[in-house]
Amino acid sequence: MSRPKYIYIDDENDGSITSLINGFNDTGLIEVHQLSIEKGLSFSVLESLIKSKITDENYDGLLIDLRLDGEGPNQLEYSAISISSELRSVCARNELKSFPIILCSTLDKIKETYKSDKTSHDLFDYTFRKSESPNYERFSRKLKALAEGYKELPFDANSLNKIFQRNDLKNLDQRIFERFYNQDIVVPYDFAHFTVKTLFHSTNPLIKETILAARLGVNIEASGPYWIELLSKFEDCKFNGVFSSGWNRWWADLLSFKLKEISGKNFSFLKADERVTILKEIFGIIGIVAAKPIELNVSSEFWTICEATKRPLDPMEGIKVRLSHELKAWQEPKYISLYAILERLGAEKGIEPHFSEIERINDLKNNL
Amino acid sequence: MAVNDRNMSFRRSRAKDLEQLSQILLKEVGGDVTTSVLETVISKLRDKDFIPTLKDGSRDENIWGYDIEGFKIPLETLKHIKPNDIKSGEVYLDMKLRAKIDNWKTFNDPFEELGFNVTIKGTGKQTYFFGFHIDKHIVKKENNEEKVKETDVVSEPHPMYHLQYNLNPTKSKEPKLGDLFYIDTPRIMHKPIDFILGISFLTSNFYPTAFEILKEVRGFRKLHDDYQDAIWKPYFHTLANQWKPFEEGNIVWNPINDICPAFI
Repeated sequence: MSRPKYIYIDDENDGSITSLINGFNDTGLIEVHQLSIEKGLSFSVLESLIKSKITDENYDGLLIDLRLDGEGPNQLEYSAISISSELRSVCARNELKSFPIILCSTLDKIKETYKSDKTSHDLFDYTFRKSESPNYERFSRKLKALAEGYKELPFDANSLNKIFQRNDLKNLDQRIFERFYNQDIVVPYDFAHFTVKTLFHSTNPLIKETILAARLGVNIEASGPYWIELLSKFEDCKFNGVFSSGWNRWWADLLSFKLKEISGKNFSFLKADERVTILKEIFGIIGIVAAKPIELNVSSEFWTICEATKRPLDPMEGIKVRLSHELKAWQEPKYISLYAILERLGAEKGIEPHFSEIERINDLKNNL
Repeated sequence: MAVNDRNMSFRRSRAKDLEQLSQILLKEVGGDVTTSVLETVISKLRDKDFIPTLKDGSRDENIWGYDIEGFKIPLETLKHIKPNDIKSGEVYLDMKLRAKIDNWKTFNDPFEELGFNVTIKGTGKQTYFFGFHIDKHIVKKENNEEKVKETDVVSEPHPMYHLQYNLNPTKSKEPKLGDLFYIDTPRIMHKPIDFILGISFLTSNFYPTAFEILKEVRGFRKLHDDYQDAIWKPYFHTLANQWKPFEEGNIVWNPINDICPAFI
């Protein structure tokens, strides 16, 4: 497939925009072209401009700045939220093919508007944070995966096994996928949004690489190339479904099953060095290094990570993090370590302790 | 091979009961209890292509059962805990149950295989473990491929359903045992329990707030009654049969839940 093409809309028009566009284009993974807008461009004109780009010029997705009504020279009288909402309904009515919409903004602006307006959370497939030096390679991989995945998506609920590439999906917690069976019409966007927000960005039934490493008891950095070698032994647990080229994820249940099968033990009760000893014996990869507890922690019976430091953590020593969405019954909480809280390591990324943990944090501080 | 309709109908009933329990736990007790592991069990009970495997490796569509791994509740009863540095704890349940569908609600042994494995983890200056299991003892047959340990050859007479403490629940090669004398602890006779009866056992011992709530939930009481009937009635009737006949009017030791609070 050729490189997916994204429309980019921003009310700014300065060097930062050029460098952002070049940043994406230089990866060679996707093409980003700015759609020029003039100050005060009407809602309906912009809507038809986007529609014709998608239909006539074969664009695959939209990258849109949150505050089109901001302070840029080409400011409009409406925000990305209202135009995106309109586009979503046009797609849902099948008047336009479905395509990914990616929100793009600075963290401050996201905090200011997006976080307080929860109704808009369901509109976007992904949020790209403008920052000093974004990892364009990483984001482009995700944008490419979204654009390509969307094209394969117009399946119905009977295609779940194919979409998520697992034949035994019905053996998982049924509450996870039941929403698709309880809907008369499922639009591609439903799958996309669910996959990114509910599966990729949460723990369980899928886990990300850092959590996989925590469950194996391994320090990724210290293990270097041996970590990559070890990862290859867990290919059979990897998620190969939709958008998997943009997000590396593993099935938590397949991992647990495999670990039990190869070791005969419950890995979650073993210390990191015991786990690593077993993995070395089984796979003969001697270079892997066991992870050590984060400062102020003692347990190396890791099962999750501290979201601020991304280092392995035993959930029992972790402090639950405030989430923008309510935790579903099958999802595991996310955690931060006491050390990260004291060092204020999560604050700039918006990682804050859950309100129910405040007293416990004070107790822990007092006992230091 | 798919399981026949009669057996599937039985399995769907068991799945529905577990689903009801899962919903009650979620609604009444809340997010501290991991119901997701239970949901995968429910899905498998409803999958006609899934047949559980017995210890000897065989599979039989007339057998129902489930494996629960990593079910977790908070450890609330911290007051008698030693060492003193333990600040928080969790109770983990791993269980395996296999039973003949035809034996359900008869006076037969309700289960073919049972492993109800509890591990308790405490965290303080370090992590601490404690464990016990409620098992069905299976007499090892000769020519068993499994390597028979010397102690097993002597074969202590175990009560069929028993509770036994496990002083090295993580199976560590070098457990830190302090002054503890590490020896097989006695198998204490215990009634058989499934997951539903197990929940009242675990919560009444380790999470009393949840037990007090569950006791008052109509749906939970109904489930509990039903499973007491299926699992405990044959067990206790068989034991009582040792002293027959007896007059119902002579039974004056009341109330029964003073003897065992789990009779709710």
